[in-house]
Amino acid sequence: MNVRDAFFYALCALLLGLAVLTVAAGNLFRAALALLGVLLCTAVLFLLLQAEMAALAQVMVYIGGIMIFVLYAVLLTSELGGRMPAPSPVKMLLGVAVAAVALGFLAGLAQKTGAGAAAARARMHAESATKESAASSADAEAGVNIASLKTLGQKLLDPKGFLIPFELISVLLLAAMVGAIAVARQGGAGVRGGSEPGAAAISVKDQGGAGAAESRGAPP
Amino acid sequence: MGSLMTVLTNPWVIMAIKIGVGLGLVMGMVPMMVWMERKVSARFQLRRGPNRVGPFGLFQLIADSLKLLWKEDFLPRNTDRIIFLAAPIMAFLPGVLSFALIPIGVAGGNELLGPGGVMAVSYISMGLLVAMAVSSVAAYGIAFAGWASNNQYSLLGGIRSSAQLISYEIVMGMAVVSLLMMTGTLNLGEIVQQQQELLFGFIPSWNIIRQPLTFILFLVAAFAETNRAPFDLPEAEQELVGGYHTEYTGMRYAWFMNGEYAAMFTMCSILTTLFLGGWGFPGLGRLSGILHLVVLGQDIQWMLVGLITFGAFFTKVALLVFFFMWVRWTLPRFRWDQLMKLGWNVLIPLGLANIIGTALFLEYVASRFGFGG
Amino acid sequence: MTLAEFTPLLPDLLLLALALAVLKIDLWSEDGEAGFHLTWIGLAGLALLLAFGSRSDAVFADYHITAASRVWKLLFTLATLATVFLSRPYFRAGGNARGTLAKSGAFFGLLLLCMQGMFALVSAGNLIVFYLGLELATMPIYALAAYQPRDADSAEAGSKYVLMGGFSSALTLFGISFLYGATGSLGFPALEAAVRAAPADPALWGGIFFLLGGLGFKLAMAPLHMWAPDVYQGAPTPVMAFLSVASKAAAVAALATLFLSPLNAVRPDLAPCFAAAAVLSMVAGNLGAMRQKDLRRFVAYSSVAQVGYMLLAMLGEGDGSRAALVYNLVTYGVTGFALYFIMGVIGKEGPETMSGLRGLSRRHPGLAVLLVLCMFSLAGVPPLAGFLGKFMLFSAAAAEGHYLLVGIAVANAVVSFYYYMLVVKEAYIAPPGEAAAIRLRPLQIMVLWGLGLALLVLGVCPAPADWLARAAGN
Repeated sequence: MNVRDAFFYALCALLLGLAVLTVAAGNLFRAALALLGVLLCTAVLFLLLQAEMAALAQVMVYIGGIMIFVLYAVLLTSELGGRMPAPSPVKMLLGVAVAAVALGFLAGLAQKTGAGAAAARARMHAESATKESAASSADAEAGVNIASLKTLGQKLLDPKGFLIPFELISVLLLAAMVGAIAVARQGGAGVRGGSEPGAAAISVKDQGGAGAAESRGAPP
Repeated sequence: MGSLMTVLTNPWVIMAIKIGVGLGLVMGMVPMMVWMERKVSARFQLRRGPNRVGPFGLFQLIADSLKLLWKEDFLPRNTDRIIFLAAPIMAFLPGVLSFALIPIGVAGGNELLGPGGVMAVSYISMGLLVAMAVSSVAAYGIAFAGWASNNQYSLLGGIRSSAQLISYEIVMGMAVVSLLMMTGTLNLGEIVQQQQELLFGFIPSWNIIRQPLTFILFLVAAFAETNRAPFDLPEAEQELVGGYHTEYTGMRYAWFMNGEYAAMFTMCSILTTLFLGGWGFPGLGRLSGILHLVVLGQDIQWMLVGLITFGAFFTKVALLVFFFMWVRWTLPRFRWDQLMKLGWNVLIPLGLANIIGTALFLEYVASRFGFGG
Repeated sequence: MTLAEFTPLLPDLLLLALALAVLKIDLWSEDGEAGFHLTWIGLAGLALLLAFGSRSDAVFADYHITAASRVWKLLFTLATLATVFLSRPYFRAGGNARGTLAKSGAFFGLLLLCMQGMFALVSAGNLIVFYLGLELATMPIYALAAYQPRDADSAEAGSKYVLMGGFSSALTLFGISFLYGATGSLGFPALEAAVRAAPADPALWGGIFFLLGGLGFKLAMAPLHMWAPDVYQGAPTPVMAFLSVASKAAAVAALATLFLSPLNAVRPDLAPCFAAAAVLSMVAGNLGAMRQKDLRRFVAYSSVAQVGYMLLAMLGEGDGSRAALVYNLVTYGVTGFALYFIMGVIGKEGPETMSGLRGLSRRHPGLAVLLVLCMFSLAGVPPLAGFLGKFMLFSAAAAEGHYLLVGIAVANAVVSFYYYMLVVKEAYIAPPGEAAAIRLRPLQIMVLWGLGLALLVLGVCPAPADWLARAAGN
């Protein structure tokens, strides 16, 4: 076992520990922090696989963006040191059972994949007559680094590649934004801040009113 | 002697030395900047500033540090201890980390000192993206501090700050995108290298000239990202007492201050690298040519070039730092809603327009006339 | 690529343009009237384009425009159009006793964006587009379900739907990742080839299992239907209508897109799974619907039962099943919207509950007759549209020899007749209060007549069914 392998296993152990903590922590904030750790470990895992782009995207999007909002949702809705009620033993047992089944399934799958994947993949590529997969396997054989930024960008905007999914995602994000703003502003002036606990405090403490409501409307 | 050289040329040792030097540089700059800030602010307010302890009041900083060290280390009750203790470190780290990526000079022929001939703690191909990723983590320290203090003012400061950081990070990202379209690379060393040419034979082709709007967007975002005035709302003392660090005392408070100045230094370094030609200046090539004639030993020659380029880089950074301070002591603070309006209603649309404009320029102008990216 | 090659893509592009235009025009118009008119005119145009426009098929990398996808799209367009008309009084002050909805522009915009997702869903040629379409078809509804201002039920509906929807999306995505792992490709053709080559691959079955779970949530098929009653009840009625018709149709389309083409080879092995889900849905829906006092809740349970019937089609052979599904969704949509328009009418003065229907036969005899037609159609009484739909479903399953299942389904249909009659009883027999006569607007009269006629025509005249079957079958 070389250094790299040892690092990999240590990282995975840490990742799994944090993942368990994410669901088992009694405090919501701690759970969110553990999730943060999980995401960070995943980013390092990507780095180990030499997928720098994926790792950086993971850090920028999940850690630098989404998790901050998750943390804020937690910060503004839960009490400091507040604990969630523990689930009933039956539920816990059920959860463990489901997890065990899933683990068994995945472990079996991993074992099987390790042995037969290469053969199956080769057979499938031979069989599939579609141009696309032939091209992609040719890419893989030629050693083209798919994860490099330039190829990634070109694939995303290539009409024969992922142009349509790419554009669909922008529509999806637009829908999410419009929906979020429409619901958040639903109450109009009357119930400003009434719906979110932290917001009331802000609008009182900040500038005492006029600008505050507008400013909060701006970041979706 | 031989064994010492083997130890010294071990890549791990070299890495350790590089990290030490980089960290020392940033950490050493922090007290200098604090002193500079006090002097500059004094000048702007027609005062003298610190002038009792040591020459020009230089040792004032040591006195201040000692004072902070001796202060009571106060832990408020009913807080989340771990988060409370971790927050200052988390606020400090991102600023220092990104500095590792910045090429601060020409390393010459020595591959061990600087692979690719670039002097940087860590010279990697996606440097710019890594810097963006690291800076995106900066909001955590402040958010944690604000929340863990169990204090309304702190919480409001923390929330404001994170909202500000997230909003302006978008602006910064958009600025980087349009810059990226011009440079075609994320490698900070290559970005600097590209800026060494001359436009029309006499203008340095720095990105500030090739992309002025991008520079302005990035600069404004940089002010916001470092929580400097006029965007220092998180610690608006009239409204929020001390903002997110109200409850922090002694060295813990000092870490926040260190982090702020370190972040400013790093941000100025990034600005220099991206827009002001990094270590280069017009005439650098001619200067190395002269050195080539005068000095015989190649190693000494490279060392001199390294020092000169580092000096150029450092001068630019220092000027930018002065600019940051100048702005701070000249402009009044924005109001919270103005800040958000500026970010979302002005800068982000501008950033989008800039991206489209850059694309059109590259497609229809630059490619035809043979300059640009 | 030339411009002409994009012609088959025109409906999708126009829909996007329409959605953006509606969102934009809303910023300028004060009362939201412009947005409403633009939306319905645009949708009507789109429906005409889909029905009579370009018939050529086209393939854009992972976006397939086929005759079958056009039929689905037409269905979604008409359902959305009906929703837009239905929502009209809900945005007027005093139009509904529960309170006035605000921000009509964003409402219509979200409906259109949702529709865009459904379009992508039925045109998907690979799993990424499929997933994105599914997500885009659900995400706007999270917001729409919480659209009733200052209403705790509506907020609950929104948050419940977000949680359930998010969970089911995660399941779907997990399933897709398994499929990708099993087959090494995201494209449907390669997926089909891989499924044919190795139908017993455990990774494949893991993928199908999770995918079915995710889709089951969206479809509200038992035992994954728990969210439906609360969401239907809390959401504003137009949103509930959209959920129960358009969104349901999208989920069925998703099921058909996946399991009737690329995964067709494993469908016989999945038969017990579909059969169990069908029986569970029918029983849970019918038992649940019996005790409901709230009409929206009633609709939720009744729609769960309808899903059970529709799942029978998944047991039949490909083309006939698809035709049966489309036809059944059309008849369900027509019947459902007739009921929802009646709910909208009675909702003007009182709550949209069973007791709100009281005395309908005196207040407006025509409406009461329409209500009876709706209920008979939902129950599957012969001359009406619902009968033919059910008949096609049952015969699709029976053709493959699932007689026991068809027997259970018929028994369930008989049971459902009981609670559909309860609604009729409220309208005709229950002692009326002192409510005044109902006056309808011209638009309402037009729509109600249209839906009522469709109910009858679709039931007795097989020509439209035949056309749909042929269009959707190939």
